[in-house]
Amino acid sequence: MTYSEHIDQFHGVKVVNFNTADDWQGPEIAYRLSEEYDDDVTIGDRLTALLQQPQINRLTKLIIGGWTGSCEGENSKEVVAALAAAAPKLQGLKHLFFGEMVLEECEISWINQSDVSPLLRAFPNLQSLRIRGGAELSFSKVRHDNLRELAIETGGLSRELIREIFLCEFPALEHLELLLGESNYGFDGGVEDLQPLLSGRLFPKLKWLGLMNSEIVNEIAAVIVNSPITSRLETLDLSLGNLDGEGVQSLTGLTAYPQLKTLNISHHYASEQQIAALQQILKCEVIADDLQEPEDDWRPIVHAE
Amino acid sequence: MDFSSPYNAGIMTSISAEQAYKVLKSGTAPADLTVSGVLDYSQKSERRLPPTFPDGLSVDVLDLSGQESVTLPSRLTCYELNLSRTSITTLPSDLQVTSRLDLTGCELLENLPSDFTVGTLLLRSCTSLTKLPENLDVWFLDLTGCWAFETWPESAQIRSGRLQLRGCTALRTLPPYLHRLAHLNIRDCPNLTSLPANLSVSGWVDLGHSGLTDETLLPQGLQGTQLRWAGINVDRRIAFHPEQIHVAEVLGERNAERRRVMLDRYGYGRFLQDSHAEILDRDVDPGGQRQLMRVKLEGDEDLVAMSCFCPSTGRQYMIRVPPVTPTCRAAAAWIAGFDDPDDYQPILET
Repeated sequence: MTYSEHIDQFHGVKVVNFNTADDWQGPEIAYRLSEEYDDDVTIGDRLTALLQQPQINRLTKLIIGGWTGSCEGENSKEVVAALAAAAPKLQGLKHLFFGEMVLEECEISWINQSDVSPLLRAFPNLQSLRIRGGAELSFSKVRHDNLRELAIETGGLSRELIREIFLCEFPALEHLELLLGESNYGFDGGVEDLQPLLSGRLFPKLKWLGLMNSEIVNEIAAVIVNSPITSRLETLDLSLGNLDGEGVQSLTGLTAYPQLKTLNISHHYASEQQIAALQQILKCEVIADDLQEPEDDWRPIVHAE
Repeated sequence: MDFSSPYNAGIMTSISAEQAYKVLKSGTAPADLTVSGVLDYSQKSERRLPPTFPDGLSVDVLDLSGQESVTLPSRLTCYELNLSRTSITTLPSDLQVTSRLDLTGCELLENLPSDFTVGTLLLRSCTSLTKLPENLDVWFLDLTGCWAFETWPESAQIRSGRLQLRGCTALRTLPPYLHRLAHLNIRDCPNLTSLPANLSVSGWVDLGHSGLTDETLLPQGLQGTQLRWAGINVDRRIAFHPEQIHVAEVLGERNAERRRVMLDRYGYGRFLQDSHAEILDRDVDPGGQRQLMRVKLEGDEDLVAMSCFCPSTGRQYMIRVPPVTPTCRAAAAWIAGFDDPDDYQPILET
């Protein structure tokens, strides 16, 4: 379940590494721009080449992989700037994955990002943005009217970053995925930091909520069953964390939300009996794969370092 | 200071914290200044407080923690406001904080504004606070160590999140409008003996050393709730029926934290007697005979405790001491705060 392999599909189409013009297969597929270790050709160079391709303005899906030095403290600022500058030629871009690096290239907590709001300002038609890596990541205040999906994959999401995301305006957002991570790698908040979201004040169209990869998922479970946001959700994803029997007991409170279609609690430390009891009481689909050993005192989440 | 950039066709947009520091320092900041980011005037930042904050200031985070003298402007709006360890006594009635107001350690704080709404309200160790305001609306309320607090508002919304009341020793009741919480901590609330009948708690209730000792007084809505004793999950038997705990069960418990709770519930004195503890030392002090006893605990440090009698009341006490303590004399010195028993020479014990 760790990020050990690059994705080969992105929003329903195949992914091709774009290094030279020879790699161009038309605007219907997704391209990945990345740099090898000590590469002479930068992402910026590859981007320049990509922009020369026919019908580039119809490209909708783009993946930015590792940049040189990404694992030695080099942050993503230059890549963000280069991509934002390319926006006039990429006005068709709808889906962006920024920082798609696998374990072998860079552990998730070692990826240094930067302020990504320039991307949101440059691409007003963007519909989905996925970011991997929470270190140095920030969202300067921005309003984006078309963003439907936002996913932040981290080994540790700071309170500050949670606040910045909640202070942005994403009126069209339907899908929010926050991989909260653990305190050893930058998570310094508590369930109370999620209150503005859980109260239902933010993101009026939200119907898919993931509070994932969290070491406080039991506490989140106890609060989310009391939260107005839950009455709008079709999917609640609490997977990849350390949910145990206590959290599963709290989640029986989801019976109060009949509109909920799917609950995902995969990678959990509850017993099979506790899961069966939950599945019995809830009418929605309960995905509870990847059972961990409930007797273990050490209960790691999936993505940390 | 040039205001042309932050102003846009007459409509003010926000300025950055770095810009704001300069404007505020000059004392010429306009009313309704809007700042993006964090204004850190905490004592730790060593940044000098500006002469005043403009009325109508709006900022994401304002940190004034540790500042001796703080004056808040009218119509202040923040996402987070940190006033912890300040000498503030009251807050402006038109203050607006969206997410989090931290008043930890404001020992002089007496009042909060009525009709105050915030996500998280931290009032830890606000020892002058005796009451909360009418129509308070909050999800996460932390009153840990507010030992003077005793009066709930007639009407308020405390809901969905966590209510922390640890060490609210004056507190005798919880208000009837508490319906649904995620977590409730009433640890060390000895005068709190019951919970509201309509209360349900979706996560845990910590009732360690509280006055809630009668299981039959648990509301119906707590039937499935996880109980905790001093931070450790326990079952109902350990929480409410310590007399049913057996010595063998305590000794056989693999989890050291859980065993500590079981010992606490069993009582150290009774446990040392019932477990046929090894006597390490005996002597006599003004209260009578003292005994130093030890029980070996697997996977944990030994339980070593001294039994002694109070010279004035004659009551027996059992006090746990470090496991390496060799003698009653050393134990008594350690209890009095001395590492070297020769330094502890009481003239008179009463």
